[in-house]
Amino acid sequence: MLFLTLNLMKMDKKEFPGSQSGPQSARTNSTQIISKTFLLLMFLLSTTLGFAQQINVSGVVLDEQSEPIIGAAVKVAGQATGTITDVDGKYSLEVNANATLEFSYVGYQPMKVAVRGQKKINITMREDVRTLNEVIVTGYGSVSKKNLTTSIAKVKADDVIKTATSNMSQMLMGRAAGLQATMSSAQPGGGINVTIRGGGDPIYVVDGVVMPSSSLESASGGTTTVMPSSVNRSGLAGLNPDDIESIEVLKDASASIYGYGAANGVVLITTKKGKEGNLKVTYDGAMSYTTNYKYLDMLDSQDYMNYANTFKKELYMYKNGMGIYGGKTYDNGSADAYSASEISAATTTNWRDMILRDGSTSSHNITIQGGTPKLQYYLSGNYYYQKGSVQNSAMERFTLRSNVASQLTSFAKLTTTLNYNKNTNHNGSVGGSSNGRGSQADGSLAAAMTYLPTLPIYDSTGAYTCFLTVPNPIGMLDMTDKTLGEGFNMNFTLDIDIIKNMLKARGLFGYNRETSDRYVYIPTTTYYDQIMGQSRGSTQHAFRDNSTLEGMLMFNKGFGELMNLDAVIGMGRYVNHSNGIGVTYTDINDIINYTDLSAATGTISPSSYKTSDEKRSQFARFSADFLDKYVIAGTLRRDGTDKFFKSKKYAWFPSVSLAWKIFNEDFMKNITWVNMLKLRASYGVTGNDNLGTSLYGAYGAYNNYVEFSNNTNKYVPIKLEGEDYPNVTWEKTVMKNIGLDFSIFKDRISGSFDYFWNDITNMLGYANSNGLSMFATYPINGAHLRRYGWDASITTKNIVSKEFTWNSTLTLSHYNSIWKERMPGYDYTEYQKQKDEPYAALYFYRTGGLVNADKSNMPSYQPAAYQQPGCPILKDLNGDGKITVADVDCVNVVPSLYWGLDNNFTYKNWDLDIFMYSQLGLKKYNYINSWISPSELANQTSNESKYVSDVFSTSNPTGTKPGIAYYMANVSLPGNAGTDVGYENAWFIRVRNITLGYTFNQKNLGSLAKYVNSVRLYADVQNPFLITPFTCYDPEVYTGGNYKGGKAEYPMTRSYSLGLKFTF
Amino acid sequence: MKRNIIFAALAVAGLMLSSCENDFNAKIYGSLSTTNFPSSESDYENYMMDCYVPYCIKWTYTLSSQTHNFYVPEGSIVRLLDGTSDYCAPWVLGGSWGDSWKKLTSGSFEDMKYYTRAYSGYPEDFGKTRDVTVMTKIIGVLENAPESKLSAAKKAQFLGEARLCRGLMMYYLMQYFGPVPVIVDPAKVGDEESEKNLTRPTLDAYTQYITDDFEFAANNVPEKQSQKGRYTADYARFCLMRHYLNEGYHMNGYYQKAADLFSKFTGGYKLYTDGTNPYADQFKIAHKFNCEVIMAVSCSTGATGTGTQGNFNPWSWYFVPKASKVDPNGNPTPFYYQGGGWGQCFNIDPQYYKTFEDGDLRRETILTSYYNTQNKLVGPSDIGNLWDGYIVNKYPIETATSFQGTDFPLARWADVLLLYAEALTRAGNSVNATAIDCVNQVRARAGLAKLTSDKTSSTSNFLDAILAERGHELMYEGCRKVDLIRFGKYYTTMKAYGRTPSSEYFPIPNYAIDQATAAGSTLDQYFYTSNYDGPTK
Repeated sequence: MLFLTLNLMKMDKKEFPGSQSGPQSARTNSTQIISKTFLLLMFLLSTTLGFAQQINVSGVVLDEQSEPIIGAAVKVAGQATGTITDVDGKYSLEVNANATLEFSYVGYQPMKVAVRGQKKINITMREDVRTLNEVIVTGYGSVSKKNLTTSIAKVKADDVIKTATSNMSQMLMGRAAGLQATMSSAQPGGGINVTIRGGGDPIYVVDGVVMPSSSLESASGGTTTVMPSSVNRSGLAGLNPDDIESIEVLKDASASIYGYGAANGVVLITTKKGKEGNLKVTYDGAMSYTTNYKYLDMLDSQDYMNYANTFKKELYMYKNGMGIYGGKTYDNGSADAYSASEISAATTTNWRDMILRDGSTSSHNITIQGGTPKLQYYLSGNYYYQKGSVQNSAMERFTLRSNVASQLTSFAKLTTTLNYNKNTNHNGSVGGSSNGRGSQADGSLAAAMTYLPTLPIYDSTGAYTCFLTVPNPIGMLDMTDKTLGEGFNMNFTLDIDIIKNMLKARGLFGYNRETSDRYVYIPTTTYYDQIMGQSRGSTQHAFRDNSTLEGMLMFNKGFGELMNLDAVIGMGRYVNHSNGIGVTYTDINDIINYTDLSAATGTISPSSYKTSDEKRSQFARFSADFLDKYVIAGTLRRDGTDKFFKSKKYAWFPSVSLAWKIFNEDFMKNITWVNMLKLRASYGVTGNDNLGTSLYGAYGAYNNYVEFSNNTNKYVPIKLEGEDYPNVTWEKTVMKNIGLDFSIFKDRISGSFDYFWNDITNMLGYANSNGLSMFATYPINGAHLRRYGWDASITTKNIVSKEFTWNSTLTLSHYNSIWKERMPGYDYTEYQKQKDEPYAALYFYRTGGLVNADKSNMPSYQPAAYQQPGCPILKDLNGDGKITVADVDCVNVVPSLYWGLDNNFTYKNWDLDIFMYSQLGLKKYNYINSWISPSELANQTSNESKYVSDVFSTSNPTGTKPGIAYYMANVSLPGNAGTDVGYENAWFIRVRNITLGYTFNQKNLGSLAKYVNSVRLYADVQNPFLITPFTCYDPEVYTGGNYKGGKAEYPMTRSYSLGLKFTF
Repeated sequence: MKRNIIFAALAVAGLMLSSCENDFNAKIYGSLSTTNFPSSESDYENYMMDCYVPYCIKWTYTLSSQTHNFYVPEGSIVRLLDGTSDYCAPWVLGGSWGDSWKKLTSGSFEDMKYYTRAYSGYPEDFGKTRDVTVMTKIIGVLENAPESKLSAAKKAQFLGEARLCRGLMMYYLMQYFGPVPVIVDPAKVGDEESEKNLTRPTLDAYTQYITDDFEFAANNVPEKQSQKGRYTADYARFCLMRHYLNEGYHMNGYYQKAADLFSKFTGGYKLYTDGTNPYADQFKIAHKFNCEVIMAVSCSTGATGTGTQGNFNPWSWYFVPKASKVDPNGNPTPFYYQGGGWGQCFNIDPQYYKTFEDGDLRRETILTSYYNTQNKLVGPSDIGNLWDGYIVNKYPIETATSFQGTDFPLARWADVLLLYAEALTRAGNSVNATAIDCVNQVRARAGLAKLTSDKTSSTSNFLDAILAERGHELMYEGCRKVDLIRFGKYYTTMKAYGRTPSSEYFPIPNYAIDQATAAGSTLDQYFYTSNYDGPTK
């Protein structure tokens, strides 16, 4: 009996606040609780005693604007009986006079009302936007926001505009404070770099199952095809963004419950589930039209030929000390590369514009959702097609997802999730070359930019033209490079109530498998990698699976007013496998190509691999809430990995966190404008076992064959690949965090602020071996890195009125990483900082302006080789009158601030959302500087960009970019440090989405209302504009490339979409 | 209710037990355990084959860490010992290739101090000192192989091959840096103190390491190998002869030992003399392993530098400028099958070109003009403006494949004749008729008359003549800088060509100096021979 009372008290607290009005509800004093509990207890007792009497109850369910809520579920507590409100919000139900009615509707706080013989019960439901009770998913459980002791950022999927969003990680850009998501490729499904507080790749946990964070990709054929990889895609490619309910980002000690691999934080993804209620069918579809952002303009034929002549002469004058380069008179040497008549007769082929194109996206999504108390289901199907904005680039995806929860017996509940996806990617090539090749194996866009504009596509015989060893960009479009990906994921969760509402057991089995098949084919007609007339191809298959098996006991119990205890203990086993097989081949009929490899008459090289790894864990978690004022939570995890040797396999990962609910203190009672104020602190340890290579010594076949007699006698050497490294063990990250959560002015302003301090200790990595040991490096737990910073988020309801609302959410984050200790034997350069060196340090000599034609502005300390006109003037930072390593500047290239701002407006049935995000305070190399080379023009080895007009020369003495003397100087400055030439400020503010929508609901749908519940029409512009000082390019997409032959990135795009959403 | 709890507890306990420590070791596929390898003759042979890897022609290899193979252009003996010598003009017009090409060809080696240990495309070779340890380990394993698994004869052969490879590695490192720290005793492999010790051994000690390996190889490697390109005793003798000559100035009796080796060759070699220009013809695909070849890297046309393919020959891409396949009349140029190269990294300095006597057939392997991509003739007057030097066509483009199948010469009888002439001269400190005859044999094959009497009138005149002959005969075979140093003329000769070598040998990179200091040993960054003709640091 005592037990029952306590249990009910807990129920009371958890389930009644919705019926209360105003924010004071959570501060319900103990008298209220006791009296209400008593009433309820009496009522329940009376129920069980069985004075049963059936009556008809009816009423109307309204929202706070007194609009009827259609489709709200009304059910009798503890029974299967129930109904749904009609178009006027009305319901009617036969119930026992002593029954309790439960009202629920998505987005509203559920309510319970005792019938007590009433025949008319009208209800006003409140929208469930209150900060206090927002449920935050944590590892192995969830908690209401007011009781959260750690730093977890939540992204509600419905708040994110998902038009033209192909991947879940695109939803995170600028949305969660402390999480930095940066686009690394704009290709369809393109990669997003996600880091939590500056760490590496976080782990992704989907509905409790850890999933691989990277995309599974097969190789492109290695040295047989020399095809650039061209692939930079996000992981979780099989997860449809529309199936996501919420994303929680575990930033601090909250990640410790995922001990292993959680060193870089955890991204928890919760997918949509079935809900009790009538069948609800939703169709959401959008069509988008995509255009490229401006891309680097290349020279047309006339300009190219004129600049080639200019710089050929300039080079001659420089080499012979003529004109401004030494004073000798120009002797009219160096004939023009192109004559005036050739120049006037030349036509231009705009290769770049033949590779770039407009793209489009279409997305269709159907979801079916509903359920009874015994069975809830969610089914969705998605088709997504994106035509990339580069030739031969496209992505197509089908996904199917089902999530069914069924109450098998009174004490057992089974939840089953199945997900299937099929992705087809056409990997259009852009830049980058593989296998150390230069421009002879460029991507098509890089080739298009290199190729001379003076050349036509075809020569007089109809064959593709040739230019040096650069492949003809249009000829390259005949090559095939496609990847077929398939994924299958299932997840079973069985919950068994051992003691109802107090103790339950859960078993979870998750299995995920993916395959990737890549077909690369170069036909005989394409000149590529200096080979013409030989077909080459590669067919590669990759497979991986991972399974999770977990069992746990979950305990939840209130001990009166004093304490509420929530605890979990469990254990798990995690097994990953991967394997692959592939064949590269040459000389096959172009029509047969990869469909029948036995037809290949050239070299056929097979390859295969296989790996597996396993982890085993035991874990426990508890949280206790004392007096509704103090919360203490702790986790403990013991993880073992097969990677380490016997005594080093296991490690403990503890965490503890505290929260002080200041707003529940007595002294806060009269401060009514504060709805919530909470201070929290956490400390936790997470780990990492992933070194990427084996720690066990072994011999392996060495793929560097030794061959004799015209390569007809072959030996496959066997090589000692490593020694045993039994001392290597877990890397540990100690995470500390202090945070404040608040909500004031009737929840009009709410938010949180966190300061963190993470130490990555015993870092797993490689140190330089002793000078003469057999292996240059050896694995070790060595270095120590510190990351620190802060993040904040603020949500405001700026205007709340019946017809017009305006809400804003601002996220801010900043982090920095510094080395506290390097690996033993680390090689420092002369100029490198040895104490507290920034992790992202960039060293260079500062420059200011160029040496002018008469050298009048050249300082006396200018190094000898830079003393020619057109060379950058170095800055003597320490003012000692000479250039030494002391003048090298260290720049930390971490952005000083990331921010994201979402503004949402509604006016009657209109809604408008404007979302922007930004990175401030960073420098990046701009690779337009790789496309203005005067020496390439002088030698006519490449076309260059229009920015050549900024290059200094005799005829352009006011040019701002270094001239030929700089390119020919090839000088090493002291310490071999570089200069800041080419680096630019790369801050940006991007408006990511502007979305305008109009919703037809039951009121204004007119005659359609009979068939459709609501219709929403919307228009969206993605990436409408960008504010940045960075020249020409988008600074967000990686721009560091200055490698041989590469120098071209997938262009950033802008999408215009129209969408339609029906709910039936 | 109680029963439920018990069930749950049992279930959890069961799961816990089943998922604990048992059978929880790393699963590694595709490799062989250290406990059961090597266990057969073919295991030992395949293990020994590691030692050949640096001498295959691939882009790079990794025994200890990633580095260039010895005969591949980007990091080869040609780049480091020919490109840095008198006959290669500095490659100034390199465009985007970066400054290391220009600097090395100008004799400016100072930047090599900044080379890092992580592979970044530079010819960083000091890291190969670890490869010596790898080979020493293999030699130790071979020495300890039980007779039951490896016959004595095969053991001797494999050990001979492994030691020849190790000797060559130490030999080449010496030509780059002078004596470098190495581990040659298998018992010291894995020993912390020995592996830490980065002090340079004495010149005599290091010389002896190389001599020991080459002498062992000359006595144990088979006289004949059925597989072309696999090392023979004669190749060991050739290596030994060269080594004796190089080090004779500080090792007693080495000159005589070099001279004595001449009669030990068993292969019956003679100069190749067929055709109108036998000198040029001997390098062509049709005449692989001709009567003059003691050893060469056997290449084929199908290979492209990939590890899983055999040896390839990419030299034409580094010798030929941006040239046209056809002349303005549509007739094929010497580059018809390939077109222009990537960059003319290696060339013949026009000033050096003039040192050839008229009628020298060897000069015909140098092209002094070409048609550029605009099909305009580029000739000697464009030197310094459109190109830096003439085209080396010694390894001509013969096939329409990405890379050529031409073998890379390692040891030729012409070289042995010149080495022998030099050894006789140095050993006796006089000019004798046999020596003169050896040189004249080589000259005759090149279409030249016998040496005039002024060239043989004194030891020093004759040695000068031998040095000049070696330059013409062996250009771009990877030994010019070694020769110039042996003759004590590296600095003076380079100065005469307008280049100033920044040091005699290459500086050891800073990373190694710092590591040595941290380990408590002293590693001198520069090494100079006692008879160096230039300034020292």
